[in-house]
Amino acid sequence: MTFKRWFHVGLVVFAVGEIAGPHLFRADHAHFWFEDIPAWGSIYGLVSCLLIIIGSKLLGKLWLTRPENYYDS
Amino acid sequence: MTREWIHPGLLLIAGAWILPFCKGRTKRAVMILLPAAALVECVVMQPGTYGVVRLLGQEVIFGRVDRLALVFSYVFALVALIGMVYSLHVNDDAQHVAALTYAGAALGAVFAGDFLSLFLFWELMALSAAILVLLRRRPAAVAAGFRYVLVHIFGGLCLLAGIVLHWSHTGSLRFGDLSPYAGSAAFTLILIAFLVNAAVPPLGAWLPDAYPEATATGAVFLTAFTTKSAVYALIRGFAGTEILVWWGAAMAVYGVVYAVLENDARRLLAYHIISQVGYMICGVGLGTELALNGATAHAFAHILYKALLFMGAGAVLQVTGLRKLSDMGGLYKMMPRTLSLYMVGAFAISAVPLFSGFVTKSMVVSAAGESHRAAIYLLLTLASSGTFLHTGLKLPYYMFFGRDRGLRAEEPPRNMLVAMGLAAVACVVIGVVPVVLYSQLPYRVDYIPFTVRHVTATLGLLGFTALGFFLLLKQLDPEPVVSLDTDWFYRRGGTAVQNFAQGALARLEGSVSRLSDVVMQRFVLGVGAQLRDIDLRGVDAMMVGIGRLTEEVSCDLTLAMSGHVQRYALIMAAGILAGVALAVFGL
Amino acid sequence: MTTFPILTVITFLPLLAGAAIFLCGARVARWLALAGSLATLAVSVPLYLHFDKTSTGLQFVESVPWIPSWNVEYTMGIDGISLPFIFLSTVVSVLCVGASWTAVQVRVREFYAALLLAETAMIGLFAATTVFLFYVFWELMIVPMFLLIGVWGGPRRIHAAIKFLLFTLAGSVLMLVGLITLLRTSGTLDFEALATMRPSAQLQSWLFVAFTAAFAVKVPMFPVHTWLPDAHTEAPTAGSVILAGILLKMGGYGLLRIALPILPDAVRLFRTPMLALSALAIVYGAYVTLAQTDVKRLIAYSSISHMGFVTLGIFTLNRNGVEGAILQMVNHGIVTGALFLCVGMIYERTHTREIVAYGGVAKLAPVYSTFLALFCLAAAGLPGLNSFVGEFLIISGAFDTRPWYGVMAVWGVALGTTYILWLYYRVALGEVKPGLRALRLELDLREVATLAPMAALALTIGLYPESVLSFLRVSVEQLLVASAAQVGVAGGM
Repeated sequence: MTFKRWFHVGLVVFAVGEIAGPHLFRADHAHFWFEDIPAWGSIYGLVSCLLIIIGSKLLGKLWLTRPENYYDS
Repeated sequence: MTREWIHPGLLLIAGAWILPFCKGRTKRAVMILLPAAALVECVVMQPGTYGVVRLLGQEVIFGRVDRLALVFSYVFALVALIGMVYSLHVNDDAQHVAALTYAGAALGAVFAGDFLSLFLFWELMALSAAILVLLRRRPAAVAAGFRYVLVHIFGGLCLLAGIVLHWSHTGSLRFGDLSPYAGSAAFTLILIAFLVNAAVPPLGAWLPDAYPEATATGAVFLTAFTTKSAVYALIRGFAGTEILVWWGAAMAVYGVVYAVLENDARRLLAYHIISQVGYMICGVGLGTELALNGATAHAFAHILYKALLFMGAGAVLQVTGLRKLSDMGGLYKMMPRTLSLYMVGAFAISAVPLFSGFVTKSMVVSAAGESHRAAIYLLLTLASSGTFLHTGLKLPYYMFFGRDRGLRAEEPPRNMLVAMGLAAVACVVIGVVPVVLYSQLPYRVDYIPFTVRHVTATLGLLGFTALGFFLLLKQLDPEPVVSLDTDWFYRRGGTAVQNFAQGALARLEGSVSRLSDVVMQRFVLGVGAQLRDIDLRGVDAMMVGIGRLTEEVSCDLTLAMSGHVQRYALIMAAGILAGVALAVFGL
Repeated sequence: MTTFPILTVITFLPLLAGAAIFLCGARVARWLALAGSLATLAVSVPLYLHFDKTSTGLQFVESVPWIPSWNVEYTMGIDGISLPFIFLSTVVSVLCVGASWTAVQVRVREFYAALLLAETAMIGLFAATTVFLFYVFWELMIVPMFLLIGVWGGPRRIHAAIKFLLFTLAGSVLMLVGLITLLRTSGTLDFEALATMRPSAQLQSWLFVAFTAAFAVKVPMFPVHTWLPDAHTEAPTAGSVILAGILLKMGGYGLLRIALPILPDAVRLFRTPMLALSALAIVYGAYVTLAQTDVKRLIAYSSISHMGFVTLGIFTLNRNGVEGAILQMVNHGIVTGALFLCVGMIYERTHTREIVAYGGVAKLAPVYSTFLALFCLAAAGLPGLNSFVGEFLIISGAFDTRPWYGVMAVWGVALGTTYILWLYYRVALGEVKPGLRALRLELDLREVATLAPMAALALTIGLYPESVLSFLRVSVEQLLVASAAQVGVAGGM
């Protein structure tokens, strides 16, 4: 479907833009070494997202979640 | 020309009481005019010190006006105005008065130059916010409001104790930078009190507990004031406190983690407040000019976009009556305007370029970068990803898209849309022309948000977060659960105290009471009996006379003829007589 | 003195009015009582207007020889410490008359006569300047209170009245012994004269025990407090208001008038146990309050906790603590008196004191609930209302003494806020309980007129505490200086 197609196009654009950008335009200095990794934002974005979802779900399943009426006395 | 200084907060607090006496058009006009007037007053105000009163030998300063106070006052007054527009349709005067009092108290706290006035407004904020929660008038809301009161009383007392200690050590009640006193008990207590209001875990469970229980309109006010006035207070008094850096970063992640598990739309947004405030706290801890500017700017932007998000979720609540994501879906067809305005807020909070969050959140993150704190930088960026995940993707997906459940809905009343529009405009203006906000920040701003690296990295971050979202979509399906937070301790723990008070302690008190009864009666009976015997042998006639009198008096008393009263009265009369006799003739 | 004996007049005017009641019929009794108490209040106004706040001596002094062989004179005079209590007494008496207007239907004449007799005893005690006169009024107070509780009280009134009587008399007997000893060793019973003399340290200790026995029962301090819940609960509304509003303060006043200036060495010796007992009373009283199911009993136990604050403040022996204690006595009189008034008003309609019988009153009686909310918030210590200032000063004084006491005090405030707000929550919020709808719960004009002055006072003192503190300041300073100078030691330890 078109949404999916456009979405993938967008992803490619962002990733390429991130890699190419600092070379095409005047780049400002980075604070840390990892910021110079190509497509750093994209990679970290994906990693963060997966980490958060998986980590939180695990935390929930193992410890934090309770049925809805847990506090109703 | 000097003009009279009117405290905008007192304007709202006092002016709110006009509302119950107005009707119809006038009432709505007043509802808008009051916060508008307060906003105007804030804008034309000049820096300086106003409203000084002497109390208990100290100076109480109601109007300490400087750049920091001013910028917070602008956004407080603005969101009060937006919130009032949003609530125009509500027919409950109590809510309006509570909301305006709450806003006014927040303004009062911002302009407070000393601890006493700060404390006054702190408590007033807690009270009016609790009342606002209560006014939903459902059992869950009443219970949540009561818990809110308890937690904030605890915080208020920490503040009180800290203030008193500070006063006794320094002799002054001025509210300023407290870092010279770092490590003292007063410092810690006041810090704890501010952290409670800022909803810092583990003291912050009250926020996700209470905010979702309020009315759709009340919640908009709640999100704005308590936490941000605490942020202001922290910037004022605790800038550069190292522990806040880590605490803030942890807080940013904490909120995001809990949000994954949340099913209730507004509770999810409430956890995001905790997450965003984490950025601000982190900025306060970093303490550099950029960091403090960032914390302030982020607070400013956050108030506006959070209000917008809550207004959107509140609109859905209002129109459909639903609060749980597992019940929602397919609303985009029927509420397109709400959806678009909501998305403005979502983009703002996610720091999409050209929206407000992009130019404010990044100041804090850059400040972490400039201080060469890699771990903090990474944590904050992780949290940014999480923010977009929830508010920009999960929430709108499940609320507006997702499974079509055939719900009936329509756009909310016009005033709600107008209010949302106002907030949306503000978010975009700040995002596109950041100098509008930057010029108001307390310190000079050298920061430029629109750099190639920043824009491309942000877009990449957001885009690939979205990828992750779609990949794990199945995992994110909302389930009807609640998550345990630190409020467990006083929700389950409170019953333990109650049991103690009603059980063991009551039994102890009963024993003490009975013991005194027994001792008193034995003692009086014993001594009195002795004296009675002595006197009977000695002063016979007089005793008979007293006994008769006592009998007559006791007959008049309306009671069962138990005879005990007569005996006691007899004995006591004898005792007194003997005592006086001993004293006069003996000693 | 050729000047107008204002103190004697306001002391005995209520007694005259009470006597007059017996000459008239029952229907006029209430009006006479109202007139008498209002007149007393009116005549007392010049006291505040002409009071010299900078003077350290007694003012409005009247002196007449009475029993020369015992060196006993009839003298009256006030300073900055007595004045607020006289104010409280006159105001509370008027409000008690108003509150009992419809509640008392049997033996009406005797009731109002007893009330007025109580007023005489109250004012007389605070205006007395010799231990003898102090003692006379102290004892005199017992009679009307015993009758008020025992005749017009609740189901267990006899038990409560007897208990009250026994406890109070036990203390009074010891005070009498102390008084006589003082007379024999010092030759005078005049407060000012005694303050300059110095009984030996050992004698002071015995005297302290004797006098404090009486005061501790009245305050009440732990563990001689157990008469209070029964007495407060079983008394009629006016009785509870006078008990909580004034009677308890007599104990605190006695400590300030007799113990601190005349027995300073003993005060220092017993300071730590007194402080400890006070802190215990604060926290213990608060916890027990949490467990109560009867509204009046709850407020009664809260008084134990609040008076714990007062004695804590007194024994800090620093300016903040003592000023705070006196202010808090006034505040407590206003707030707890008002709470008992509120309870009495609703009890008149529902005839139950059980908390479970109440709920959702805010919906049925908004004006009443607003007043109740105001007084509950005042009791909880909300800034802007009166109790906050007193608590703040006492906590400040406590922290200066030893941080531990400050912590206990703050803990007490936390508990206090909890139980009083929880009470409000259960009574006024939540679902409307069945059986309440049928009753006309809202206040009528007379009742509003009774509560309004208390509300006004709570707000005024809260926002402008100088109105009371300015009267106290000089006298408290003098008291502390005098009691420290005799020992040669200053302030906190």
